[in-house]
Amino acid sequence: MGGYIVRRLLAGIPLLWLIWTLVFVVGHLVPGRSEDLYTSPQISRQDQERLNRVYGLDRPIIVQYTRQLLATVRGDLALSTSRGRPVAEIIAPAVGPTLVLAGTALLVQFTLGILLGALAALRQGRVLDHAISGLALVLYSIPVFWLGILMVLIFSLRLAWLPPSHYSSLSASTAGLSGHLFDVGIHMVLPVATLTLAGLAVVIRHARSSLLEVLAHENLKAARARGLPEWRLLFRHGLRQAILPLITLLGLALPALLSGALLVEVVFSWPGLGQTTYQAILARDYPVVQAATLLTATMVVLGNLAADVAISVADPRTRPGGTAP
Amino acid sequence: MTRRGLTRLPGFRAWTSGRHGLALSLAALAVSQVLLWTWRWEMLAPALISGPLPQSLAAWTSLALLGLALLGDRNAVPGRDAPGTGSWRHLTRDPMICVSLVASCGYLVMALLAPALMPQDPNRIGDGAATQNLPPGAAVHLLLRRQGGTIAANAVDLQGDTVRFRRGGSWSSLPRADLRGTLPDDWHRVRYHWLGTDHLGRDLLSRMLAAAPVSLGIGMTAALLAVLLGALVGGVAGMAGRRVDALLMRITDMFLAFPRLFLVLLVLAVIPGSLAAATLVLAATGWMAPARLVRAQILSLREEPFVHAARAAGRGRTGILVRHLLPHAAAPLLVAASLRIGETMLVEAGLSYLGLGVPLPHASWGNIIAGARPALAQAWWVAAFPGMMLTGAVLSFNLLGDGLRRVMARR
Repeated sequence: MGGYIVRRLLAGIPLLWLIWTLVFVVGHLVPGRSEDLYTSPQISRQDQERLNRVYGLDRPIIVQYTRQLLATVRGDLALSTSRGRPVAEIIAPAVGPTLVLAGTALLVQFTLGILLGALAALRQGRVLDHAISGLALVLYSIPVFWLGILMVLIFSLRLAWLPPSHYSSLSASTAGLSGHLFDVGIHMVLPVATLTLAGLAVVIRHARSSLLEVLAHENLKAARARGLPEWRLLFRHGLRQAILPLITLLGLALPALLSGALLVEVVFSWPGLGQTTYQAILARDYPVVQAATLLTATMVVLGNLAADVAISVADPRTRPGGTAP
Repeated sequence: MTRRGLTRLPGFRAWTSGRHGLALSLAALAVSQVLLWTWRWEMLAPALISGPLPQSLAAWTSLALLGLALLGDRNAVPGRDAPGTGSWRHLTRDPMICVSLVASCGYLVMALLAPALMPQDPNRIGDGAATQNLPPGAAVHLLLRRQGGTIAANAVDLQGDTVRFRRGGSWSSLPRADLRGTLPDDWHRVRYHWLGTDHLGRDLLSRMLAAAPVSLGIGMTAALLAVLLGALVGGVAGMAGRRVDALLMRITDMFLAFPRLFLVLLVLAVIPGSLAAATLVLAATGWMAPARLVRAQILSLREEPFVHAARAAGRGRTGILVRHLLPHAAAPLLVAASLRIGETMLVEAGLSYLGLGVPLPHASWGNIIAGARPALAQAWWVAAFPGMMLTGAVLSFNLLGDGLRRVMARR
């Protein structure tokens, strides 16, 4: 098992290297020299040259590439051009909020999605099934940022139930740990609900179709013949077999989840990676954008790895050359 | 059975029932879209109605080709379906497809006729407080002055020789003699804003209509380019041998590992935003799924007898790919394209919401919603209506794609 994980991790390295290269190439080879990004016409020629030296932009492109790649491997990210601090200092505090937001949304999404998908599969072809499938299709077509705005309009501005933005209140630091947790929880409701609804459709559809497939299997037919009620069949036997494609989906859903998280973070002023990326883009701070993009891509690669490992734990047949433990 | 309607047109059968009809239609559609693109989308509707011949031809053919691509009867059952009607019958038997077809064609027609439908100039900035953030259905009174120019007011009251009018919260008055003519009809006009106005006093309905060709145009063009690019990559990967295949699939995996929005932002952070940039970036980041689809299709067909036959007859790999394998992938590609349109429109809207997609003063449904942010508490309608429009458009394309997939799966 350990060997398998190590092998998969090693296989992820070339992928990350390709991703890094793509980010570098986009930054350096698109029309407009990259040094233009860092300067304004007001800066004198000497200052410009000094800046180029600081950021290593006076070297040939291949030297820049190698040096930056080695620096990234050492964990040494560049300087932020808009704030003059190391990129790591800017990115690090943003990771937590994004993980909290996206993680919670993912959890709720899969719980709710599997439940609704199971309900639809149980009532296949009936009104409830059509209602759930219709809901999934509508949710799939709603722009996530608009959904967030609607939530703010309804629950914050009209009903004044929940705060419209940010991670915590200004007064929260004085309220003690439980007060602080409650405060963050209150602030999380709307963003998490938005992000959950945005990705719910995919989970519902996958859960429904893979459950329907499982329910047609011979062993379930046998169980049905012995008189087991349909819901028991579904939850005791069906879900266990249908869980594998859903774990794969968990890995595949990550890019969309993180894209959605970016928009949700901007709508709700959530201080996460997406918000940081967006601010960096507005400030033309390319090193930060680069680092944030790399980080999200790494999260996706690691998430897929985790999903693969989970599958190989759940189903020994999928292990390369593996037999049942 | 006799042939009816469209099917009697000369060349119709050759186009739709040929092996390559669907692929040709898609390709021609893409080409005409790109041609149109170079003439700017806001020129599209005038081009259709009164524009120079090549433009209106390009516009109408792209619409007609979309229809024909849908009508294609490659898979009609011989002996049961009349020529030229096979797939059409299959399609119209499905109520969901009918509804979505009508809805998406409705959106297309709306986009094409937008300039004619717009009640007002979508970019005209209103006259101060009297026109800003007006609720849906609001009327603006225009007082025409004798020496030229107009005053916009929310309410007007004629009292003897003075005209009192309200602008925003405050009343003012001016002598009746300052206004043009004698009868109230001479100096007084009313302008209605059926969906209200935004924070600059622009008419929301007009702006939403002006956004339709932009949002739909970018969505469709980028989706089609993405599907064509995907077909190219997938086709090469499927045919070119193990090494190239492995490399191309690695690259595809890499693109798939990026959250798409981050990838798009990465590029738009460096190049300035424009309609063309947004389209190309969206196309360049959406080709992965079609590429995998085509590759899978080709791998499953590569050892079929007809491919061996073609090879034995001396066809090269490119010939086999283009003439024998890609036409087989045309139907799933069509489904992929229509599902991709909705998705692309959503990404475009997200980008425009962030201010990095469609640049102002072009309207897109996304950037209208972005414009609602400063006054969200006062003017909910500026965010609500464009969002509904966008959701409706995406939903109708998704329904269409879903329905087409269902019909094809049934075969």
